[in-house]
Amino acid sequence: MTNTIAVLLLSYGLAGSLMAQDVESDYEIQKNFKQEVKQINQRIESATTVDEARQLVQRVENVKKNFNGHEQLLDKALYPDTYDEVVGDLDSRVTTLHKRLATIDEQRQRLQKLSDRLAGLEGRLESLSNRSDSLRKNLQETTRSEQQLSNTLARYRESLRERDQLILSIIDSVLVAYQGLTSSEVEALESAEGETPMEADGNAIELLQTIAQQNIEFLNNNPQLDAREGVRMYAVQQQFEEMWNRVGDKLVAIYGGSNKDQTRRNVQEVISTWNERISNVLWPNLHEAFAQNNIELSRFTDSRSFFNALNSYLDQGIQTSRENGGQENYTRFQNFSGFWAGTVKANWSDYLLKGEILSSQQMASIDQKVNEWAAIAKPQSNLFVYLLGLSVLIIIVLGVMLVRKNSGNSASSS
Amino acid sequence: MKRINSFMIALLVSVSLMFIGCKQSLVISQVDYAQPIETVLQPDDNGMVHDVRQGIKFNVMPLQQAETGNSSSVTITEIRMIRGKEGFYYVTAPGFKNVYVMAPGKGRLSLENKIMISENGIGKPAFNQREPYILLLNRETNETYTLNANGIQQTGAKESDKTN
Repeated sequence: MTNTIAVLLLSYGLAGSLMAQDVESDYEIQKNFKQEVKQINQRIESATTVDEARQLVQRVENVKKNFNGHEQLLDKALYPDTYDEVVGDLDSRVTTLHKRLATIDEQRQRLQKLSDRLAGLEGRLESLSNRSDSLRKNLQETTRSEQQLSNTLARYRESLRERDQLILSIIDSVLVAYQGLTSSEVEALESAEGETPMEADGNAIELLQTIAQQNIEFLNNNPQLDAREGVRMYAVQQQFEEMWNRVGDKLVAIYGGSNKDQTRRNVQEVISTWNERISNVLWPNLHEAFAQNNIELSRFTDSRSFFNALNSYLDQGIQTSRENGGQENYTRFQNFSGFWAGTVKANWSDYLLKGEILSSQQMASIDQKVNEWAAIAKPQSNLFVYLLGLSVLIIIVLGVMLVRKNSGNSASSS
Repeated sequence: MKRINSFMIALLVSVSLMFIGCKQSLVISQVDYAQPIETVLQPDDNGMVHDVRQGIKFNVMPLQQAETGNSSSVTITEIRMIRGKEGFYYVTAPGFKNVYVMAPGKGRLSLENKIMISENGIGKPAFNQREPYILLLNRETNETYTLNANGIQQTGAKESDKTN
C-alpha cells in the first residue's frame, strides 16, 4: 500500500515537472535545427564575400546557443549522426570558408594594388616606347648638326635605358605579388576567377605579353644595337623569362581564362621569340665591341662560348708573353686589360650578371688571368745585360792594363 | 525388449515436446517501443500515409470517420503520430477533439482508447516522447496534456496562466 502511494506520488511529480518544462514540440525543434543546418550549408556553397562568411560564423554560433539544450533529442533525430558531429562539421566548414574568403579578399586587394600599379607602368611604358621610336626616326632622318645629332642620340639611349628599367620594375612587382602566393591561395583565387577585379582592370598576362611583343618589334626595327644596350636588353629578357618560369603557372591559373594551356603556350612562344631576337643581336654586337678595341675573340653565340672565347684569348696572350711576346703582345694585353676594366666591368657587369652572360665566378676567373698576364706581359729590358757586359769588359781592360803596368815596372827595375 | 522400446519412444516424445514447448514460450520482455520524435504525415488523395523511417503505412479515413463522421473525401491535412513505450500508437490531427490510442495487430491497428482532449478541438497538436508518458501540446493555446494509454494523467496550465 505504501509502495503504491509512493509510485503514484512519483508519477504525479514526474508528470507535473513535465508540464512545467515542455511547451515546445520536439518535432519542431529538430525540424528547425535541420532546416537551419540545411540553409547554412546552402549559404556556405554560395557565399562569395567575407561579410557573408562572417554572418555564417555568427549564425552557427546562434545555432549552438539555441540548440545546445536539445542535444539528446537531436542525437536521436540525427541518428546515425550526432548533434556534436553536425554542429562541429558546420563550425569547421564556416571557419574554413571565412579563412578562405578572407585570404581571397586580402589577395584581391593586393593584386588590385598591383593591377593599378601595372596599369600606370603600362601607360608609362607605352609613352617611353613611343618616345624611343620617335627619337630613332629622328636619328635616321636628321640632317642636323653633329652636336644636335649627338644630343638626340643621348636622349634616345636614355629613353631606352628608362624603358628597360621600367620593365625590370614591372618584373619585380609581378614577382613580389605572385611569388609569395601559396598553392592554396592560387587555388582560391583561381576558383574566384571572374570575380577578380583585375580581370576587368588589367590582366597581368596581357601586360607581360605586350611587353614581350613590344621588345620583339623594337629588336626587329633596331638590329644594330650598342653593345651596352644589347647586354642590358638581354639581361631584361633573361629576368623576364626567369620571372615567367617562377610565377607563370600561378598567373595562368589566376588569369588564364577558360583555355589555360593555350594561354601558357602563347606567352611561352612570345618569350621564346624575344630570346631568339635578342640573342641574334647581342652576341655579334658584343663580338664587334671587342673587335673595335682590337680584341679579336673567337666566334661565340651564347654565354658559355663567350666565356670560352675570353679564356682562350687570355690563355693565348699569357702563353705568348711567357715566350717573350714583345711589345706587340704587351699592346694586346693593354687593350684587353683597359677594355675589360674600363668598359666591361665598369659599365656592363651589372647586366652581365643579371643576364647570366657571365657569372661572378667567371668574372673573377678572368680577373685572375688578367693579373697573371699583367705580371709577364711587359717585355724584359736588355739594359742590365748590356751594363753587365760593359762592366766585365772594363774589368778585363783594367786587368790587362794592370798586368802590363806590372810587367813594365819589373822590366825597368831589373 | 518391449519395455525398452516403449521407454525409448516415451523419451523421444518427451524431448520433442520439450523443444516445441521452448520455442512456443520464447518471450522477450521489457521491450521499449518508444519513438523518440513524433511523425508528421500528409495523407494522399486516398487518405494513405506512409512513415518510411518507422516502417508503417495505413489509411487515415477510419480515423476521420470516427472523428468527424465524414469519409466522403480526405479532409485531414496532416496527422501526428507517436509510439509510446508500451507499443501503442497515439494519433491525432489538427482540429481533432480526441487522441486515438491504437494497438498494432496482425496487419491492423485497433482502437485501444479514445482520449477526449477538448470540445473545441486541438488547433495545433504535437506529441513529445516523455517516458513513461506521451506529452500532447496544443501549440495554439500552449496547453499540455500528459497521456498514457488509459487517458489524461495531467493537464498543464496555459503558458499565459503560468506567467500570471
